[in-house]
Amino acid sequence: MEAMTHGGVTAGEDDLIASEYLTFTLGNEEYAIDILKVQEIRGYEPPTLIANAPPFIKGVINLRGIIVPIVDLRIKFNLGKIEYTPFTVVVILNVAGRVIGVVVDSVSDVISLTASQIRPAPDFSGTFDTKYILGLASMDSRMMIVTDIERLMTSADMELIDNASA
Amino acid sequence: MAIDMSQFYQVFFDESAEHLAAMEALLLDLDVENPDTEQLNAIFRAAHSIKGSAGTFGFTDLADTTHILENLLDRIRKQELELRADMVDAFLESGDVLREMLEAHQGRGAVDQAAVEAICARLRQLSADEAVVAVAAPVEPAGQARPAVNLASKRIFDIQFVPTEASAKGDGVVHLLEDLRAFGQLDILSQPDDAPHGVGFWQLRLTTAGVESDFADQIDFVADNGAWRVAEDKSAATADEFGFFAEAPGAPDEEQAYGFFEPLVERPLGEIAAAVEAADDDDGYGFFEPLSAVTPAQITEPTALPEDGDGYGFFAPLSAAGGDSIVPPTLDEGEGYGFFVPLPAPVPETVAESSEPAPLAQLPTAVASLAREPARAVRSAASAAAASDSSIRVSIEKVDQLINLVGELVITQAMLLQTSSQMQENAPERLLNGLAQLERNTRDLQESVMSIRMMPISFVFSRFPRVVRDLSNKLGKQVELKTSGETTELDKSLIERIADPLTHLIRNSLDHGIELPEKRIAAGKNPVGTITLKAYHQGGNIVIEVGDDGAGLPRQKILAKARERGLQVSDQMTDSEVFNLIFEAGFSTAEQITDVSGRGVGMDVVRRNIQAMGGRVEIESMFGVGTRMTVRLPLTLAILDGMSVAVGDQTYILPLSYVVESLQPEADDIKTLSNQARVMQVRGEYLPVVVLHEVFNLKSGWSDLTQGIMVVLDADGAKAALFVDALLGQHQVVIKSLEANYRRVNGISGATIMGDGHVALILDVSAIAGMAKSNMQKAG
Repeated sequence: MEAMTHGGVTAGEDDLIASEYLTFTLGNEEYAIDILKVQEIRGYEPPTLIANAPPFIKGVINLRGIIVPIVDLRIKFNLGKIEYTPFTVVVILNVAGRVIGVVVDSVSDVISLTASQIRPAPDFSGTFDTKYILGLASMDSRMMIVTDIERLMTSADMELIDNASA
Repeated sequence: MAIDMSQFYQVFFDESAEHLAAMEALLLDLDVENPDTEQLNAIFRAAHSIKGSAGTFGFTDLADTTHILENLLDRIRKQELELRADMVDAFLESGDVLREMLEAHQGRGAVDQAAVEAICARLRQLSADEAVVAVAAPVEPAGQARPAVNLASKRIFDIQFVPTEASAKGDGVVHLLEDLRAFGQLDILSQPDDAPHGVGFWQLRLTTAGVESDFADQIDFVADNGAWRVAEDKSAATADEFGFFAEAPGAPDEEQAYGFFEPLVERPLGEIAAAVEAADDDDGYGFFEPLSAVTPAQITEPTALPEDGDGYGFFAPLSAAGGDSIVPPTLDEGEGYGFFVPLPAPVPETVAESSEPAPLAQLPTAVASLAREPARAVRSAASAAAASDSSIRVSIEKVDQLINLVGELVITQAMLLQTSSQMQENAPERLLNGLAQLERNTRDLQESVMSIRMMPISFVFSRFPRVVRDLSNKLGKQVELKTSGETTELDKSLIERIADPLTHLIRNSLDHGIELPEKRIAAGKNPVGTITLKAYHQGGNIVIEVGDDGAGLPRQKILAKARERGLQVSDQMTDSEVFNLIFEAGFSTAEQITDVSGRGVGMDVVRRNIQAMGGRVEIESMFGVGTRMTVRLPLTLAILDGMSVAVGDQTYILPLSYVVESLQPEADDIKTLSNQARVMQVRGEYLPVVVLHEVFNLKSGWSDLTQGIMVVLDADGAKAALFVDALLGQHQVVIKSLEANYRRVNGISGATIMGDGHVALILDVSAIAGMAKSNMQKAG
């Protein structure tokens, strides 16, 4: 693969094992998450509001009988234009034994990345704490932020879980 | 080729726990003075079943202890020993020990070996005592007679059985053969091809000095559901027997008497009774067997069978003559078969024993006494059979999954209905009819599925006789427990959770309520106190009352104690307010701390637990007369009767049980306190106002409180008026957890899915009433 030669790193055996990632966009940024954490992708429907919840928690929806909270990552990270159209996408995640819906601008595709293709991200400060970033990967001149979605969703920042770890 | 037995362990644990519970219930019900044979048999069967399956599964400690217990029980039910109160105590205790062992095998807790040994020793001791009694008592000649015959002669038994798959594949058969060899000389006449681990027909011949009952049980464990027979081969032993019986002095033993009647089954009622009683008396297992399991050869085993013609003729003159002639044990295979067909199932043990002839003088009396109980014996046998046939064991997850799916179906159905109603005239009539039919069917289906989870409250009530018995003994009080409404059904999850609070209430009544006998007599009451436990349905609730005719709650003492603890109280408080103080944490008026109660933890936990179930507790009490605690619970945790209310564009569900009334307020009704908190006057009462759209930061459709609706709520005595935009309707809603995928939200107790597929949140009325209170406190 292109990225491997570009990196110039000697590929170990581990590096050859590729994992699949789902990529989606938030504003101009592209994110990649472990596809095994994704349960399904569906259209946006207006959720039921939860009183006094933070603005990025849009509410809860009925997903075939399960009550699922919906998080709008665009609001959480101040990215993109917040609008809800028939094309707005909700990625239903299955993390830490919970089902959580995430609103994103659009889902791009599914890619394979080996460990060597994921480079550590430089430290920076911002709304998106680097501790949730596994690394950065590039492919066809796109840069993708490989995210530890489970850690992000279960963090206290997301206010999704009682007694969440920081 | 050992098979993995562990997959069946859970079934064993469940069943054994049930047997133990049944045994305990029967023991408590037992009249020591005049024990009912049927009950004794049932207790024996319970112990026997536990022993049997424990042995099969290799829990030898359980099997050993039960074995000792069973021996004693066996002797009692055979009336070799008289039942005494201390035996019942020992039985109850051994039940506890067994339960402990079961728990230990399930990885919970450890077994107290000392206790096990103590109880075993005690049971052995009791059994030994009885042996002495039995031998000494002249009224029990049978007890003497049988050992005598055993010593006198070696007997030959033909044993036939088909092992269960489990015992054949395990070491069950091997062990059985070893055990039998220990009794005497064992010849294997035929065995399955792949012995000893094949499932097939075994035929053995055992020459032993013992009696059949010594080894019959072992065979029973190994054999497939009653597929076993033991018969004594009389041809070898007849001479001895005759010699013996000519000298036999005593009255006939019951079983010996039956032998004569069994062949005559088709005839008079007395005989049928005797036969039924015989079957039942000896061993319950045989009773329910399908007849097909009985082969001709097995049926004819009773060697005492008289010939056909002789049999009938024989009986009539005998009872008239009452002579002391001895029936010659003759064997007629063909005839015997014909005789036995009408019997529900012959019981081999009895049948074999029947070969011992007995003086016939006593027979008419035996028949008469047995004839009194036939109907009951038959009926209880029938109901036992029905109960075992008509229930299946299903895991709760499967049921819950079913309930969830049906919930989905109901929602889908509602959506279809809504869509069709929007189509109005465009919808074809046949479609509408079909949808109406679907609605009815889904509603019925939902009700049936919900009822699967419902269990009678007797599952909880059944444990209390024991609690009361133990505790009243310990406290030196005389207490009678009366229960009613045991068949009242409620959700299984509630059954599990109500047990602890109820136990606590009962212990409390016993400890604080019921007085000591002397005190009761002094107060002119019956020295025996009464605790009543009552369950019934009222509206959408189940009501459980725990009442006692004891001392009642001392109002002054509670007030004094409350002051001592620095609680805000006044003499003007109503009785119910004062009594509710006992639910405060750490509150106890007991002068002495006992290990039963008095530490002041408990009542607050009781109330908290009951509230967590969506229920509430009320106390009524009259000093010197008694106390009654009333627990009100919703029927189920899964469904709730709700009122849907609108706030802005959102819909919320209010649990209907908390709603007192709703009204449109007049401007004059609403007043403010310190210009902050609002109160509303409803029927002369000032209620704090909670404005839902303010609490939840929503936009109301109304600018003024007089445009909307005030819903008056009552949450455990805390009243509040909740302002909402409009009332939408009343629904039964399926409660879904919000916390499963999200977190707890203040003011919300759960969520549900409405007919249109949208989620509606269920309001937590207690929390909302609490908000009203804190508003008032801020203002006041």
